[in-house]
Parts: sequence; C-alpha cells; structure tokens
Amino acid sequence: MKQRWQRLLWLKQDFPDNHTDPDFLREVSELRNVQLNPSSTSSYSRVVGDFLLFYHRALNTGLMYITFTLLYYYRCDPVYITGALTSLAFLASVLFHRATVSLKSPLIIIFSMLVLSPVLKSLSRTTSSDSIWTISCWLTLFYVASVSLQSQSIVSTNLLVANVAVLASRLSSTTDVFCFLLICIELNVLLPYFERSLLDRKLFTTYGTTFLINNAVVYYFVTQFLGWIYTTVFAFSAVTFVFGLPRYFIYWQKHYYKNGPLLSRWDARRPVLD
Amino acid sequence: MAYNIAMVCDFFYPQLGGVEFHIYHLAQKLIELGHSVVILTHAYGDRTGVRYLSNGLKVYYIPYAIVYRETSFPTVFGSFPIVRNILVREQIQLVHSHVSVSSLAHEALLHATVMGLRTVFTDHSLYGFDSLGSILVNKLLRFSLTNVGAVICVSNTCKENMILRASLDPSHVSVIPNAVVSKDFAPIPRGPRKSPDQITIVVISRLYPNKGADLLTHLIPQICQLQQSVNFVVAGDGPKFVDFQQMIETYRLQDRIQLLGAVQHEKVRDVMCQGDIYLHASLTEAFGTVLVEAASCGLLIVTTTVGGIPEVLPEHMTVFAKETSVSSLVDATLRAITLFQRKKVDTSLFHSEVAAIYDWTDVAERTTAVYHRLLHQSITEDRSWLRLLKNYHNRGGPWARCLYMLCAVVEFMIFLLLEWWYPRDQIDLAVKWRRKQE
Amino acid sequence: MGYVFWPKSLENGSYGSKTVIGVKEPGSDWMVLALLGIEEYGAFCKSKCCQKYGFAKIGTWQKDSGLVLELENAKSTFLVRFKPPRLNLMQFYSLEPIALVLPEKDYLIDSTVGKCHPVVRQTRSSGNAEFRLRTSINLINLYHKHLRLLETSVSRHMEEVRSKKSLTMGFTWYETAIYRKSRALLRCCALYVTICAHFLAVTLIGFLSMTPLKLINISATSQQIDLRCRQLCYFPVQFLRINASAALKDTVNPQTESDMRAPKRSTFPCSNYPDYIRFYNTIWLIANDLSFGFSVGTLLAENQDRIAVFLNTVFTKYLFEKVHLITAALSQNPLGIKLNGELAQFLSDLFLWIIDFSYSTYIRRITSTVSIRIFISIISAASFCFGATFAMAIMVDLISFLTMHISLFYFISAKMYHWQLHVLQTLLYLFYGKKRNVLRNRVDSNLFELDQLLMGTLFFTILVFLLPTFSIFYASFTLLRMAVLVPELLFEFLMALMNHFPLFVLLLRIKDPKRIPGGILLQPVQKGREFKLENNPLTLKAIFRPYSVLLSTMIENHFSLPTLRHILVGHPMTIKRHKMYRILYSTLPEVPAQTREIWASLTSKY
Repeated sequence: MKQRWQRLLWLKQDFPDNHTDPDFLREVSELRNVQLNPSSTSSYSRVVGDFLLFYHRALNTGLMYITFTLLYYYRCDPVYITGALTSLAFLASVLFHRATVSLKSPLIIIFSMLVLSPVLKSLSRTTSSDSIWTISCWLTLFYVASVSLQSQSIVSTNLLVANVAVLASRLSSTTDVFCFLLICIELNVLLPYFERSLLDRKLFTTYGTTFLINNAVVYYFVTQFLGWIYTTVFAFSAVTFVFGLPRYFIYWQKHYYKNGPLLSRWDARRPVLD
Repeated sequence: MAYNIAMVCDFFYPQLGGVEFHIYHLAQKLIELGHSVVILTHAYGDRTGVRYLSNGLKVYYIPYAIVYRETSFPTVFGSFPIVRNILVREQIQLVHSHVSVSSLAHEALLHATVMGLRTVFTDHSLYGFDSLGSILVNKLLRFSLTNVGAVICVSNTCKENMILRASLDPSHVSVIPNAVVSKDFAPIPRGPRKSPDQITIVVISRLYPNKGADLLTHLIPQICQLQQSVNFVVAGDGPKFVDFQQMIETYRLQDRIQLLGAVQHEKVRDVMCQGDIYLHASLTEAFGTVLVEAASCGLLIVTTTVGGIPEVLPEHMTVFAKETSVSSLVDATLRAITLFQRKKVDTSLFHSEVAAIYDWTDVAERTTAVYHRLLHQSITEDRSWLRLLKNYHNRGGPWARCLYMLCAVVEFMIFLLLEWWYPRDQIDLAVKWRRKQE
Repeated sequence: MGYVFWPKSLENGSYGSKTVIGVKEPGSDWMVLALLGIEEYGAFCKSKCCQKYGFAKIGTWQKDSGLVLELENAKSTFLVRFKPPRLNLMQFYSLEPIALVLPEKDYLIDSTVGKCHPVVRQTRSSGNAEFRLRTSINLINLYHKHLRLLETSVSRHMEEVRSKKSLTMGFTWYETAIYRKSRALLRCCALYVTICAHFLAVTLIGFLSMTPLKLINISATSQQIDLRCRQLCYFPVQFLRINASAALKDTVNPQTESDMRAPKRSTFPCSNYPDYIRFYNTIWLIANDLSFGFSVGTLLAENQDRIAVFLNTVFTKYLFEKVHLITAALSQNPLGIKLNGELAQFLSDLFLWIIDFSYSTYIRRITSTVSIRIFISIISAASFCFGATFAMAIMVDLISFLTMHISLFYFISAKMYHWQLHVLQTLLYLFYGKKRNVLRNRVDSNLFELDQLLMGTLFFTILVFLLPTFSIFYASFTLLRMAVLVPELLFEFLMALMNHFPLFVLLLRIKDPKRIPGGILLQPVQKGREFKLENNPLTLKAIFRPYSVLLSTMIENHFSLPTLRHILVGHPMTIKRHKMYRILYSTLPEVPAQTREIWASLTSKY
C-alpha cells in the first residue's frame, strides 16, 4: 500500500517529480466548469450605489463652476451667498460634531486667502481666457479622476485648490476672488466631508435630502445659464451613468474577470494592518 | 550519459540573487556529474564575450541592449544568429531557460525548438492573473512554452501556478526545489548564553511592499512593547527603508532595532547567526530560499503561509501565522518567543536536518532525470515543423493564434536563411574543458 | 639573461686585438668603458683601479672574431648599443619623462607620467627588473665620468698625459686681488638687493591674498602682480638649486681621487635639470612679455585718440543704450510671451533704475573720451614697464568694472529664479504629501493639515504663474552676462599663454632633444641579437599638457552640460580665476619661501 501523497517538499516521497496534486486537478476542472457558465459576483444595486456616490461628487464639482459663472458672467454680489454658506457651515459643524471646533485652522485659511486675493486677482491678466479654461478643464478632470481613485487624498485636495486659484485669477475684484475661494472650499471640501459623515452615521434621509437639493441647484442653474436642451442632455447622461453603466460593468465583470478563488491564490496577499 | 547543456537567463553573475545562485550551483553540480554546461546571458558592463568560472563553467556574455532591471531588449528574432552559432559551436543537445521575465530565455527556447533541440524551462516566481504585467508575461509564456519539452518549478504552488498560466500538461511539469550550500549557512557554535531571556529576531528582506514591509513596520513596535527582552536586526534595502527609519524614530526604538541596510550576500549568514528567530512577513513567495538558509543557521522561523512557504520546512522548525495580518503575525511571533523562553525548541539539529533535505547534488540528479526522460522520449515523438506549427495553432485565442503562427513561420524562414548563409559545417566547434581525472 | 651596454663611440673599427674593460654597480648590468691595448691593459692592471672603482675585464676584442665576452653566461647575453650622453651638455637618459611641473603639483595635471614606452612598461611588471634597468641607466649617464677615471688612472701609470686631460681648468688670470674685492662687493650688493626684492614680493603676495578681500580672486591685475611676485620669490631658490647641480657637475671633471665614489652613488646628477629648464623658461617669458609690451604700448600710445573715440561710442551704445532698450522691452510682453504684467513692470523698473544710477554715477564719467584717453595712457605705460600681460590684465579689470551693472542684474535675477525654483520644488513635495527632512536629508511622507495644504497650493499656483516672468528676465540677463564673459575669458587665456608658454622647452626640443628625455626606447637590431638604446624625447602633448588641462577646465566651467544644468537651476556663474590658475601655477610652489630662509641659504652658500 503506497503512502498518500503529501504536499511537502522536505519529505522524501515515493512519487515522481512530475506528480500532480489530485486535489488541484479537481479544482482545475471545477474552474473550467465555472468559466463556462459565468456569473457575476457583485449585485446591481451595490454597483449603482457606488456610481451614485461618484456622480454626487462630480455634481459637487459642478457647483464650483456655477458659482464661477454667477460671479464672472452675471456679476452677482457674492457677499450674501458667502455669508449664508459660511454660517451654515458653522452651524452644521456645531450641530453634527457637537464639539468645540478648533478656530485656528479656519482663521488661518481665511486670512491667508484675504492676503493672497489681490495677488490672485491680477495673476493671469495677460493670459488669454481660453488657456485658463483649458487649464481648469484639465485640472477638473484630474481632480475627478483622483477623487474616484481615493475619495480623500492630499493630491485631490491640492488639485481642487489649484483649480480654484486658476479660476479665481480671472475675477475682477478682490472681494470676488476671496468669496469665490471661500465658497468653493466650503462646497467642495466641507460639503463632501459633511455628506460622508452623514453616510457613516446612516442618516440616509438627510443625505438623500442633501443629494436632491444639490441636484436641484445644479440643474436649476444649468437651465438658467444654458437652456433646457443642455439640461436634458445632462440629465440624460447622468441617468445613463448611474443606471446604465453598472449593467455594462457587470457584463464585463462576468465575462472578463473569470474570477474564482483558485485564480487569486497566487496573488500577493493584501496586508491587514490591524 | 553526458549531455551538452546550455543554460539561458538574463540574470547571472556579476548580478547576485536567488536565480543567479540557482543557475550557478545547478551548473556546477551538473558538471560534477559529468555533463558539459555553458551559460548564455547578456553582457554586464564591460563583461562581454566568453568567460570561464570555476570548474570550466563557460559563460557567454552576449552584448545586448538592456531595457529595465537587467532584462535585455526583446527582439524575438534578433538573437537568432548568435544563439544558433553558440548552440552549434558547443554541440548543445538541450537548452535550459530560466525565469519568465527574461526575454533572452524565451528567445532561446524559440530558437532551440526550431533548430530541433530539446528544451527545458524553470520558473522561480509566482504571478497573478489580473494585472496588466502578469497578463503580458502569461501570454508570452503561452507562446514560448508551446513546444517546450519539460518545465521545472521550485514548489508545488509554483507548479500549479505555472500550469494555469501557460496551460501546460501537468505531467510535463516537475517540482524540484531549490537548495542551499549548507556549509555556507552553518550556525555559530554557541557557548552558554549570557542572558537566556534576551532574544534577537532577524529580518532579512528587500524592503518592498510585496515583501510585507508595511506589516513589519506595524508589527515590530508592538512586539517591542509587549516583550521587553526582544531585540530586532533588520537587514535589507528598498523603497520602504525610510518607513523603517521613521518607525524607529516614532517609537524611539533606536537601541532595540538595528537597521543594517543592504547586506552583501556573503555576510547574510553572519547577520542570521546574530539572532534566534527569523521573521518572514512576505506577501508572495514561490519557494523562500531565505527561510531554508535561516533554518540552516539554526533559527526558528516565524512566517506567513503564502505561496510555497508551507511546503518548504518541517513543522518543528516553523511557527506559522495563518493570515497576513499584523495581529496574526504578532501572535505567531509571541508563540515563538514563548517556545524559546520555555526552552521547548531545540534548534541545534536544524542545520543537519536542512542539509539532509536540501542538497544541490540531489537537485542536479533530479534535473538530470528530467533531461534523460526528455532526450529518450524524443525518438518516438513527432517533431516535424508542421507538427510544431500545429501546436502553435492550437494555443491561444483567435487573434493570438495568428500572431503565434506568424512568428513561428518567420522564425522558420530565418532558420532556413541562416542554414544557407552560414552553414553548420562552417562553424568551428568549441573545445570542451578537459576534466581532471580523479 | 643579461645585457652588456656598449657605447657607440667605440664603433667596431680596425682595432686589432684589445681588451674590453667594463664597469658595473651593484644591481646593474655591465657597461663597456673602453678597449685597451696590451700595454694600456698592463698599466690598468698595475693601477689597481679595478677594485677601487669596480672596473674589470669582461672580454676581448679580436680583429677577426670580434667580441668575445668572458662572462658567466655569455651565451644568453645581449649587446645594447647606446650613444653616451654628455652630462656637461645636460644630455641624459631617463626612464620617466622629465618633470616640467613641480613634483608636488603633479596631481593637478595628472596622467603625464606613466606614458613610458611599452618596453619599459614590460620591465616594470617585475620590480626587480625595473630596478636593474634603472641602475643601469644611471650608470650609462655617468659613462664619461667613469671613462675619465679610467683614463686618468691608466695614463698616470703610463706616464703619458693624454690630450683630453688638458680640459682641467686653468683660468688664473682673474685671481687678482682687485678682482676678488670687486667681486665680493658686487656679490654683497646683489645679496642685499635680492633680499630686499624678495621681502617686498612676499609682503605684496601676503597683501593680495589677505583673507577678507582676496584681491587675487577679484581682479586680474592683482593676479598678474601675484604671479610676478611669486616668480621673483622663487628665483633665488631655483638659482641655488641650479648652482648646486653645477657644483656637482664639477665632480665629473675629477680633481682629486678621494671624492670620487661618494657623489656617484648619492644623487642622480640630472635631478636638477628641470629646475634649470623652469628657471630659464620663466626668464625668457618675462623678456618676451616685455618686448611684446613695448610694441603694444607704442601702438596704444600712437593711436590713443582714435581708440578713445571708438571705445566711447561702443561703450555708450552697448553698455547703456542697448541694455536700457532690452530691459524696457522685457516689461512689454517680449516676443508675444505673456508675462505677469505687474511683476514684469516691477522688475523692469528696478533694473532700469540701476542702469540709470550706474550710468550717471560712474559709467558716463569713465567712458568719456578724456578719461578713456587717460586709461589708455595708463595701460600703455604699464605695458612699457611690466609687459603686455599687465596691459591685458588691466583691460580685463576695466571690462569687469564697466559691466558691473550687468553682473548685478545677473546675480539678482539668478538669485530670485533659484529661490523660486526651490520654493516650487518644496511646494511640489507638499502637493503630493511629502516633506523634505533636512536633518536626515531624505523625503518623508507627511500628513498635512487642511490649512497647510491650502496655503501651500495657493502659493504654488501663484508661483507657477509667475515663473515665466522670472525666467525670461533670468534668461536675457544670462545671455548678456555670457556676452561679457567671452571677451574676458579670451583675454585671460591669452594672458595664460604669455605667462606660461613652454618656450624654452620647445626650443630645447628643437635644438637638442636629448636634454628633455621622455623615456627610453630599446630597439632590436641584427635580428634580435643586439639592441639599440635610444632617447625618446618628450612629446609635444606632454609639453602642452597644462594647456590642454586648462582649456578643458575652461570649457567645463563655461560651455558644458553641467554648466547648462547650473544655469537652468539658477546657480550663478563666475570666473573661477583661482581654479584656472592653479594649473598654470604648477611650476611655482604653493607657499613662497620666507625671506629669512632665503637669507640663511644665500649667506651660507657665499
């Protein structure tokens, strides 16, 4: 009676060197079966949820452009909006954190922006507007890309601020520049943070309300600035993105990533830093 | 029965590493068994042309452009003239290529197949299936291993990986582990220890993310906090070196952790012998030669169970961490420390045990058996070009198949051209190294 | 295997039967001295000079059978023919090239030595063989001395004075009292003059290289004065050394037999010849410089008015008007490049103000026709008195003084540009969450606070927008500065040429290549049975080695890729006069000798 083969190198066994683990052969044949009938591993609703979050973030970025358009083309007085948003932000932070907010950081931010606004105002006067729009467009793309890779990283924050600074350099008055900087930071840094904390606390109703308000504001202003046709186009592409693309994603996941626990056995393990 | 064997790999001396030592020791032992071995590699700096190493091991340093990390520029057909010339000169019967990221190794396989020689391929590492780089390497392997005679892997895990990557017939793949030169990794005979409680843990690893450097930077402070009598020696260099420095500074462990930086290969044994426990936190590993070396030096091994590691060492030499998590590794390390403190482990016999298990002569004999089988089955097998082309046709998908066949046809044409332009009988035969008669 | 060195003066004539006398030192091969007839050989045997000087019979010369050696291994002995060097004409053989620079400064122009002939390199492989060759060469150099010794001892015993012996000097006419007195007086005067001059020179050197100012690094004129002073300080030292070797040369003409053996062994007689060459080279160059100076000075003085008018227009146009124009143009979007208006205006105004200021304070006054005329007369006077190099040095200084405002612009803009790049780099680190750790000299990853990030990025954006403006200003002033540097460098190179040209060596090379040996050449003749020993004169490449080193240093400092990189990151570019001259000073010691030492050695000698 031959001894059973063991999966050990240090043991001298009475088997030829090209002996193959029978368990493995069975696993391989199972894998072949699985690969013939592909099935997806992720559920549709979860993918939609992920896409929705990303869409929301992109909407937040859109708010920045709306503010800019209001200030640059419609010459709105930004002081009231800024005041309202700032007090709102303060209120929210007091309400939801329920802690004494450190005043140092906001003060430094506000004062540094105050100091730098005059410099920013004249920074790109000799540069043509088209160049600035192009730079801003690329920065936005990079920002969205970096956000989609890692929701809160130093690089994405920096890209955002750079973008805001570039846009602010087109504005005509120091007040505009300052207010624009402040609004953008509140809308794109504080608001997403606030929304994330809502999600973490599972306050889905509040989050849903914020999301709806956000949508309403963006679409209202898009209609105001560009007309109904653009709004329809935007809305349609948004719906396609949120509900259509996940289907496509799941299709590819099924057919391309022929996953199975067997195939990921040789990947480098993920370190768990607990 | 003595064979003329050519080993082909991009990585060889003067570069030092696991693969390079494997090729060198295997070649030396094959020469001792009476075979004739030449090695083909690309030129390293001014080291070009033919060189001899000990025992008449002949090395051809072929001048090639280097792309990245000492890998030669892949030309597919460009190396054919010189490789053919060398193979004919040395009257090679068998081409043995190493490492799947070495383009020279793949090209030599292709050329040797077309020239009607038998081929063997050895792989030393594991690859996944979902990253771009590994997909490319796998496609390449699929092509170049189409007509390979035999494949050797260093562990069962590596073998299974290989079977799936290159869709090989399992019976063509043999498992022959690496070995160590046990006299180079002998423990220091130690007298009565000064303080029996003082335990030193050694870490020797390139400090890369896939070697578990992040795990180590989190784990070492915890161990230091839990066990006041434990010190660390960390050897190796890499992108995570700064993280180690920062860790030491953050936790103020300057007097408990020795950070040595890169250590020369001949000093590795001395570093190992400073410790009692060897800690291995790698996230992927085909074989883990370093574990065998550490055990041979008489160290207790604490390791993760990734890849081929569980197959390598007997249970009484190792303490496994079930998961690649910090907590699991901390547990395992604490268990090992307790074993030491309660004197439940006797490391004095490790050296002789490892020496009995892993021996290069054994490896060379098993490899020779593979060669032997290959060269004897070849009489019956159909090796016509049409057959080879058909094999290429039966690999790969609808697009890859066309590309494979195109390459193969071009290769055949170049071969015919070379046979006409520089006939075999015009190539001088090299004089073989005369062996000392004992 | 051995060698026998055979002088060519003993060519195989019809000698008849003769005895071959050779000489040998411990560790060397045999060198044939003379062929003696029978009676001469008898006298030689009687004179007992064999034991005294190491002479011996090593073979015989027969009319029909030629040379028959009576050595141990005569079969494997090769004949090496050589032309005996005449030490009194300063000819000699040497294994290494003669050193034209001071040995302690050899590292500055490395790789001159070691370029020996392959034969020598081959023998070098074994230290023993090299030592043997070296001692043999030494022996060959002393051929005439040994020959004379032999002749003296032989002839004394034959009681027959040969004609060659009459060379012993018999100048007795000047041994009079008056002559002796006046000579002592002259010598005393010369001594005091030398000491005074030396003291003055040393003081001047000390003053010019005083640490807070370091005039020699700033002005070319002081550099030139420093060079002349150093040469002056070195003259007495060189003179003493040459005289020491001349004293040694006297021993080649032996007067008494008692002091024979000592100097032969102790020193190599040719070791002071390089000093001789250097000394006379310096003297020649100074004379040359002065003669050039006369013609240049005359030329300048004659055309004073025309030159003054020409220079006036050139200076006014290029130092003021053009620079003004360029600076003003930079503020108005030059070449359509969009600069930041405010910043460009500010910088342009700043520089324009500096131009106006410097023009009204000094440039206008200096470049007026009258003052240029004065300057030209000063230059021509300096050229008359001290040589053309001084004229050039003053010219260089004048140019750097007049273009001071351009240098100032350059340094200001370089500094600003460099700072900006530095800040940008630091903020770029911040941009992707890294921080430079100055203490460890590495880049750490760091978690920044929101306010830090915000401020950093705002500054980063602002600086990126301002970068083109700074770089345009920097680039234009760098170009201007380059345009000023090129003529300065040209003058400096000319000065270097006139100060250090190896004129004397070149002339020696033409006149008598044996005086500047650059190694030896052993050539096989008669199918390898015999060898010919020849002198390899110093190659032109070796002679001009300091120049090629200087040229490559200049190119490396001003027209190379590292320079471009330096310019790109905004490191200021200066003439590193000290670095340039270090190479040319290779014939002068680092620290001039103290006056006290000179005094001591001079008084002890005379």
